[in-house]
Amino acid sequence: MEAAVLSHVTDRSAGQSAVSTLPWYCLAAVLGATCIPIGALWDISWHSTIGRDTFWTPAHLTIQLGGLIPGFTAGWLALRATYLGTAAERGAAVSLGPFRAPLGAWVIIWGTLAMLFSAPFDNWWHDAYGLDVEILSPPHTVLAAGMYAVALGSFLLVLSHQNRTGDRAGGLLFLHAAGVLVTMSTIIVTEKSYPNQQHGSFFYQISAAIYPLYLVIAARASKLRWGASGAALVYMCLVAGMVWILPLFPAHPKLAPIYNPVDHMVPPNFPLLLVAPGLAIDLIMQRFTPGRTFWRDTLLAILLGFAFVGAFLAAQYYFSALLISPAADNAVLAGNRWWPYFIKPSDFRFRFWNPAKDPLTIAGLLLACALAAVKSRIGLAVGNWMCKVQR
Amino acid sequence: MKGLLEPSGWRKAAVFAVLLFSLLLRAEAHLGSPTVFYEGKAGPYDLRVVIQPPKVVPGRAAITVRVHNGPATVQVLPVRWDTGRKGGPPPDTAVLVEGETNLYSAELWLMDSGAYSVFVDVAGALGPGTAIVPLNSVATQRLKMESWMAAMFLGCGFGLIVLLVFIIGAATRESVVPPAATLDRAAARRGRYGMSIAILLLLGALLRGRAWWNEVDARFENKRLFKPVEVPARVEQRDSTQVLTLSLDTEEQGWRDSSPLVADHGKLMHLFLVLDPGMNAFAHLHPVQKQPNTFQAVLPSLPAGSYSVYADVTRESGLEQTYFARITVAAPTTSGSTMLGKDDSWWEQSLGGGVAAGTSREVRFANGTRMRSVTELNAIAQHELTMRFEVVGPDNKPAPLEPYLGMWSHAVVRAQNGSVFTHIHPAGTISLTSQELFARRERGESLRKPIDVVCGRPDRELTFPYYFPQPSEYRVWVQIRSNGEVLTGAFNFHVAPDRI
Repeated sequence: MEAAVLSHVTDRSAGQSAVSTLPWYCLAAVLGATCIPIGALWDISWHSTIGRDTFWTPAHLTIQLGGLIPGFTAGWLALRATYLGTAAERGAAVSLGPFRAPLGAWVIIWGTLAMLFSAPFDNWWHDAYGLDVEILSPPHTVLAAGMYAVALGSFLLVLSHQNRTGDRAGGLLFLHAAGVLVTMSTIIVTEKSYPNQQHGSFFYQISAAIYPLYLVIAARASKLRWGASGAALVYMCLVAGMVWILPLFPAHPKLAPIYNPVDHMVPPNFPLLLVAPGLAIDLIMQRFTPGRTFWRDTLLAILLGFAFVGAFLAAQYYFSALLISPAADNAVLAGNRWWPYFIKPSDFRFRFWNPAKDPLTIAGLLLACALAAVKSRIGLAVGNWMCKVQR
Repeated sequence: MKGLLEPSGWRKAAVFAVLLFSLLLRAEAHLGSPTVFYEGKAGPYDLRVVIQPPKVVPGRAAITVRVHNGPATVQVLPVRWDTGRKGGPPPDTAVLVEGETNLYSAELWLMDSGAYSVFVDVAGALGPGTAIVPLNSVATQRLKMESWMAAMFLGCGFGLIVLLVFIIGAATRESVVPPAATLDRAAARRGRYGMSIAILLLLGALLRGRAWWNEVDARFENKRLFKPVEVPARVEQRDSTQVLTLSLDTEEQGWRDSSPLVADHGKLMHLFLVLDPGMNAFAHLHPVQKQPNTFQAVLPSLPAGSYSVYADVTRESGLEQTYFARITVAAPTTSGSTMLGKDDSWWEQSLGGGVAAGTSREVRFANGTRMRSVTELNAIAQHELTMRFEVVGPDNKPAPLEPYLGMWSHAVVRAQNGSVFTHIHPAGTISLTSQELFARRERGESLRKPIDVVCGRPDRELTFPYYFPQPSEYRVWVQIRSNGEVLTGAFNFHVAPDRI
């Protein structure tokens, strides 16, 4: 481990292609952080299938594992860089008072502490307002911020490794970490992204306000050519894996009222086809990357905004129509199989919701493009900074 | 205890009580008394079921089932009124309480607001049996955060924010500096800028979070909390009578059940009047529905004064609800009594045989009948008990009882400070009408047929399972019908805090 930790700091060429040089702490942090979206999707499935839960459900434990593995890893990195590290190791860390650790480690530590803090807060919230009345609540937001920080810290940890060494394994792990972040962002807006909502402007606006940031960061900060599509692919694989694996386990609701008597773990929705806008972003950025000036990046962001919405709309508009049709009622697409036990079966499942209240309009799409352009611009700026992160 | 019965003692206490009343009162089917008791049958088994509902919904209720002629296997299942048992999961098996031979406990998950019932399935040597125990699943408490907890959360939150500001400062200051390089002034300046911007952003996030929390709290209070429903009421002089008009058509902002009212013991509404302060007059009336939400009742002979009015109704869903009103009777009513129904009854301390209190546990009626509390008139708050009464005729033999409103006896409990009001029967706190509604729905029968349920005839004593929810002085009015006359006995209970 000692040799692996920061040997790349001064010997960039040594790690450029060797998978074996990937430091253990990067793997532990990123794979640990991967437990978070997996646990979150599992937890949503648990609530949709069984209903009752305790602190000790496997889904909750997976999420906690996702906080603890990176948390302990980051804690060890901080102890090592502060008290045990060589001058080079300390040099590759940032300082927080007398303590030193890689930036990613500090972010992970913050995230783990926030996750721990959210537990008693959430417990009090349950006593005050009831058991998980809404997914989005203040304590859940603290938990989500903690989980997000753990994933972001892992992402930064592997980013600095990638930047220092430029090795392909680090690049691939970076894309995986970016995919974990994309997955977590999609989970946050689950209730706004059902297939039945995907013929309305709002879905494209909220998607444009979120996903281009991650995809553009991945494209700009990655040392690999297909950063955005790679991150999108990781997201799709993680969610699709849950779509295909969860229904293999039999389970029954334990709460009334049961309107939909499911007999297996309910899968999440089939993942969004983010790989389509990811490819568009990669292709454009491969063509326009040289010369990162402010105005050039701003123009690029506008182009990326339109490209994101155009590619996403083209893919998702027709795919969502397939997903809500009986043709998608199969184990692969899980089109009609994600409904929780507490939702009454009706034709509501097979139609788009609120076409009158939330139509898909040119104005709505232009707003989505503007949001995507703003987020792309922020993504480019953050990506530019990330390209330089060394510690 | 003695002082309590003196007018001045009552007055002081009651004035304080009235001031506190609106703060303390919680509107449920039984105000301030949420614990559900059922004493009755599940097929061949004699049960006592006690349910402590959660204070917020969704939440978990605690249920205990004592099978008097057990042991047996006990399973419990909460069922929402509109989905029935077929919409429920398999029941949970209650576990034997340690050290007991026939007492079983379980947890009930109540996920929605509204009328619920708990199906208690018992199986044993006598075969299977099921009891249905209705309960209101409603949020009744707005929890305040304790100061130590608030301090802990504030401390942790502040620590997290400070840590995040420093991390952002470190990120902007050092993260892009090559490992071997030293930090320059520009790096330090970047760090300060980063921290400043972070502080502004985090302050904005905190303010947004505070506003969000306030929104959630307001939504809970306005939409989900089952708050006291104080309704408009007025007393009018009509010829020689005084008529009370009560309107349920209120601007309720909170959670509500809009299913129609059903007759409970043959009456759409059971109205109770209690004279404040002192509780020295009491009436149990049955107003007539004049319009969908307007009820009228002729007042019997009552002394002038301010009265608390409690209107119990049962809805077709099975939800029981108590509305509250306050009226003033300007002058003593004298001649309305002849216009009252045969089931209307009233009581006044100076005329109704007095009040049993302390060691004097008996009241004597004008016809020579005596009502005696077998139970001591002292109790401990939040301890399950059975209030026992016996009624003896002038010949010292048990008085002949007749059903009064479908029951052999009724008891009305009110705390001196007004924070508790409940109407109970030998079957417990539940409404047998509500129980019958759930049973009919399960059997697929019409809910509109008249409901005529009668409790089993008592052997000798009138028993009421109960649990005084808080320390206070309580008055319990026990009502029976004997020889065609409704008799109301009043008993003062001193309920001490649980010191253990």
